[in-house]
Amino acid sequence: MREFRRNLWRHAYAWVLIVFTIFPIWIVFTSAFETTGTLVTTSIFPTKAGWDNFTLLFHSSSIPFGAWIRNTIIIASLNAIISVLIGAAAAYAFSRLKFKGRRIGIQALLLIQVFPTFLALAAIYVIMGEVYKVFPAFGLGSLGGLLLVYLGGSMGINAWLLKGFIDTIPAELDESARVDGASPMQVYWLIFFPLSAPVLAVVALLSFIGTFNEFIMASVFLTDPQSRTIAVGLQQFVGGQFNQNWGPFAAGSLLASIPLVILFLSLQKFIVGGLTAGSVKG
Amino acid sequence: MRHVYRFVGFRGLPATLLKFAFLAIIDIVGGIAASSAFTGNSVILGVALVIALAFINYSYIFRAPTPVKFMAPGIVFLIAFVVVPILYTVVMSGFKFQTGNIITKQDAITQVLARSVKADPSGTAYDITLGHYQGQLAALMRNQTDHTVSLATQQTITPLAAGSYTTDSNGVPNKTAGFTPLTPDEVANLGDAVQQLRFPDGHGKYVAPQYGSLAVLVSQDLSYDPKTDTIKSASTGVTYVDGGQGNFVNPKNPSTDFLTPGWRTPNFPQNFVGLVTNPELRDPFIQVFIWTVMFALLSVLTTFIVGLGLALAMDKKIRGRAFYRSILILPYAIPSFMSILVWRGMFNTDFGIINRILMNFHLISQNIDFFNSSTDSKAIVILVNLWLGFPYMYLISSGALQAIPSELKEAASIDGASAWQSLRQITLPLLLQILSPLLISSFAFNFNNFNIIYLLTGGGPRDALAGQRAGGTDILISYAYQTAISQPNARDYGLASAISMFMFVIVAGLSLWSIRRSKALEEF
Amino acid sequence: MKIRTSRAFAAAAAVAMGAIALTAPAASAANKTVVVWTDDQRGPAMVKLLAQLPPNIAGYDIQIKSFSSLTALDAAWSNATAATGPDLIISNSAYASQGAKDGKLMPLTLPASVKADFTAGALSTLSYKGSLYGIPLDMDTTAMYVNTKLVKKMPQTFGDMVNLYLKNKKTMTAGFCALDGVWGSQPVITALGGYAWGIKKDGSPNIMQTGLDAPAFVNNVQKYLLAKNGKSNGFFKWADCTPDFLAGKIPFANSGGWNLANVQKALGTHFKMMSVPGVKKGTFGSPWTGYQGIYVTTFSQNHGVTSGAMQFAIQYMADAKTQAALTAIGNRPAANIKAKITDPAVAAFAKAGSHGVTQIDMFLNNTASGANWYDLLTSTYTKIFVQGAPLKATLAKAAENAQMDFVAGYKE
Repeated sequence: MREFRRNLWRHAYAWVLIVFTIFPIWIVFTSAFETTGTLVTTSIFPTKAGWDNFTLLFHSSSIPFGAWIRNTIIIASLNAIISVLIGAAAAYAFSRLKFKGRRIGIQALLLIQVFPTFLALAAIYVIMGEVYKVFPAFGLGSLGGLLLVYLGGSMGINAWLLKGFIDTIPAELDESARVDGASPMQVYWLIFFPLSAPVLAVVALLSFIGTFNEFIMASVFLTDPQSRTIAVGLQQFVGGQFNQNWGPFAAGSLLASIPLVILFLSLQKFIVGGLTAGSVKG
Repeated sequence: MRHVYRFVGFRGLPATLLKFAFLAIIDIVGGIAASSAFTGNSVILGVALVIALAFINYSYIFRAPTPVKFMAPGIVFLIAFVVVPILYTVVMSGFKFQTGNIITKQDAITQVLARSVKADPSGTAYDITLGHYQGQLAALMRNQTDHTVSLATQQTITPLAAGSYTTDSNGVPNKTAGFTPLTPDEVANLGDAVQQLRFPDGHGKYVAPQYGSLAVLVSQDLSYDPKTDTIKSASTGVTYVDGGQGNFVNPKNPSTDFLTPGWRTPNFPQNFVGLVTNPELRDPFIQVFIWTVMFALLSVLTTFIVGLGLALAMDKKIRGRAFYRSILILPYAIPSFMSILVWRGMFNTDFGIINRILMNFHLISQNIDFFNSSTDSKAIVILVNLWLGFPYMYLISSGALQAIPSELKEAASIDGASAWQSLRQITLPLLLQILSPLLISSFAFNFNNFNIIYLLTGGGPRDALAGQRAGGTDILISYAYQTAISQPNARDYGLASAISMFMFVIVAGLSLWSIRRSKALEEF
Repeated sequence: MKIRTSRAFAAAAAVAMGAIALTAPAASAANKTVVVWTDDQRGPAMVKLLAQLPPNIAGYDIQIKSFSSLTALDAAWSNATAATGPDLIISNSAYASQGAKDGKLMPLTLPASVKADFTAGALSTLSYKGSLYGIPLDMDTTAMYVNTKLVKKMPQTFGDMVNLYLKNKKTMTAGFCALDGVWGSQPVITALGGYAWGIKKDGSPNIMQTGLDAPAFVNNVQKYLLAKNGKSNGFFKWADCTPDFLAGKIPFANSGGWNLANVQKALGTHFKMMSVPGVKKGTFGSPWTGYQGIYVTTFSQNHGVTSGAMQFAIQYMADAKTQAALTAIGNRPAANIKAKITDPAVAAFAKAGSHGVTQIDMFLNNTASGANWYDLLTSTYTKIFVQGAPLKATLAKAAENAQMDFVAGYKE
């Protein structure tokens, strides 16, 4: 009991934040289960609970929600996997290999992330136009094309996050492997890759969420209702008449968030380490 | 143990074969792509692919430096989708690239000429059948108004007497002596050659097919002379010249008498000058800039304080810690565009839950119009950003706390320091040192955080009646977007690019300064 | 690994590359595809239309690409390039002037017979500097939905509506809801004697005359929309009132055919349509009438399908039969005056639209005063009805700013 009292401020602090955190999430729940027609939720509890909003998502031909989930999962997983592979390799090079321009390279990598490209869309349309002439499958309206665009941004952030982690792996490990005759590639694949698995998972998760969240590029790339991602699809509910589509929007958001939350919670131990790896080296 | 790596993993002949099999696949796919790029008139892409392929082959076959091997795939994507757009932006900042001056000069000339093709005031149109006559494309046509039939060749139009032709089921003439009609497939294969056809009527007008079965009587006023690069009007006799500002202009009256559309053209440094001289941009700039810095600073500060507090609270194995943590990182896991929109709905004047609750507890007598008050909107933006951001700060703070050697803290407590003193004098300074790069990058992120402003308040509120151009919560990026990109009839990509570069200088300068200072890169 | 071996492999790879490159596939002789871009409202309707009434354009296939919102369509369209751009685009009338300025749209030369199917107003909204750029498809206009559970006797005058609300203030959250925001509130302004710009005798706009500060309008707003204390009497709402109208807490609402299905779902058969009544019996407010158009793009030239695109636009989309079918699908009155309108609700829109005012986007979207017409109106409404600002001065300022916009828009 004394223990509890001494820790009271910790519990109190946590509970205040929990109320703050849960409040909007609870509202989404309420709105999702509210069935009073097209009304928006204006109460803490549903006035009449039911599954109407969910059935609308799955039984309306104009809202291919299943396809949206599938598309999102495909593109987000592919992006997560490929960008981790790309980012990890670059991070390894920046962390372990001595070469000219390394410092400049990693700084440049960081700086181009903060360039506000109003014209990114215009430029990417020009580039994708060229790609489209040759590979229609990767053109406008295709998930493949969108994936290519996403991969462009994969090296910067991921390399930066991962480099910090690789820096924390003792140098003796690879030196001894090198003495044993391992090539840099072998050191990378056989030693660092397995050692970094947890942090790679975190980076993959973060880029998965990033893809999940992205709707600006996706909305100008995906033209067929069947090919949209969840973000674009749900965006469309609230685009014109926010208050009318609140229910289905809430239901869709809820469904879309569940897999993310589960992934996040199951990986949370790694996440703490992964995020700080870049800076925490003592 | 020595030489064990000779036998493990990627070494020896199988590995080499595997590597080259892999390379061969890339080469083949890339080769097809490059060759179809050249045949598909995309020389740029073809060249880019060949360079990329050469680069990859060089990296893996000819013993390129090891770092190149590791970074080659990433670099290819980075250049294509990040560096090229940045360069494009940089180049366009030196261009007049705005509504009315979007396309290339070549396209502009084509369009200027196309626009001078005007339908005859009589609106005369013809139902036509395309075919060959004396080895040339020609048309049998029926005037839609008076139903007279004639044979149009590229030299002249000859009326046909009744009985000298036959018609199809719609009454459109399709056969006459010497005329072989085209099948619909043949017409389709002609494609846009149909549109290039001109049947002169001998009075300065033409019959121009719009598509395979319709033609319209038109006249064309303008003609382009490639030798002098001028456009001449037949009706007024004016010769339009390239005015140097992206339009063909009448040299006597260049500012009002010009031909549309124009084309994008270099105008450096006018876009940068415009940043200073354009009152729409300049006037609200100070206000927007101050709020941008405040917003970014407050966002980092509030999220960091709350997140750090939580990390400190959870820095001990208290009961329910796992539960607390699971709940409290939820905002980080939920897609932010969804949560921002949910918050927007919650603060809505008429149907928002917040107003409803305040009303139920009789704290207010009338719904509050949050998003119409600049102060309220600013507070809401910060509050929502706090909700979105504190879990991240919590996670990084608790990671950093774990990384602080416990000996340090113990040493402090032996010295008789209170928990508060040890926190302030030892933990916090170390923590800040460790986290400062992440805090700075969080500042940079919020400085350009378009999404939260756009989705939550749209930059508002804005007193449009008072002529305000920037809204109360507009930050630089949302304001620049609104001014330069979002107005459908007055887009200015050149200006937007100039603004991009200006903002980049601020944010990059800040980031660079922090990197240089931070320990993270000291050992380079 | 020896360099010689690597070179051998490299050479082999290069040979393989070359061999494949030589066997590049020959162009097939299949139909050419004409790509139509549109937004999420038009897209599904177009797909339905093409299935119901397949166009017969030899050698061309029509492909509809619908973006998830008008915003997305705007972004895609403003960044479209020769390779990625569409051959045709379906959108609102603002696209005509904007696309024409940028050189992204092809001028259309219509035969007199086709022109005769459209009103001069419809054609002029889709024109820029004397050239026509789009074929009008259907009308964006509004009429008033009346909840017949709340309203037993259809109102004859604006005053009838206000009185009904004032009598039932306890059960109603407002008297009138403009479902489409300030754009949809235009018939209220005009019913009360206000207007955006004056109309000359020949029907052309007179921008030197702006009517937000017309004395009759100021008086009527005071009389019908404000309470004695100078604040809103709660009758008029232009934002966030849709749910309450659908829930039966607001008797009147103004909107277009796009909300017909929602209203039917919420109110069943308990609603009627009419035009917003004016202050005097027998007069009515004038809604904005805009037109959706189908435009042939210059990108179609890059794809070599301009003639196919023109044929689709002029022969198929402009046709009365096609437009009648589209009207039945989308509940918006057809622009083709020969297209038959069977649904009574849609007929009500057509009727309301017939005394509407053609919206001239170049005036309304101009921001010379710092804001376009719609933002200006939002601010004005907020000031008057929410903050209780002095009516006359606020409206005078609004009229002054509006004129700045119109004059600048006219110069374009």
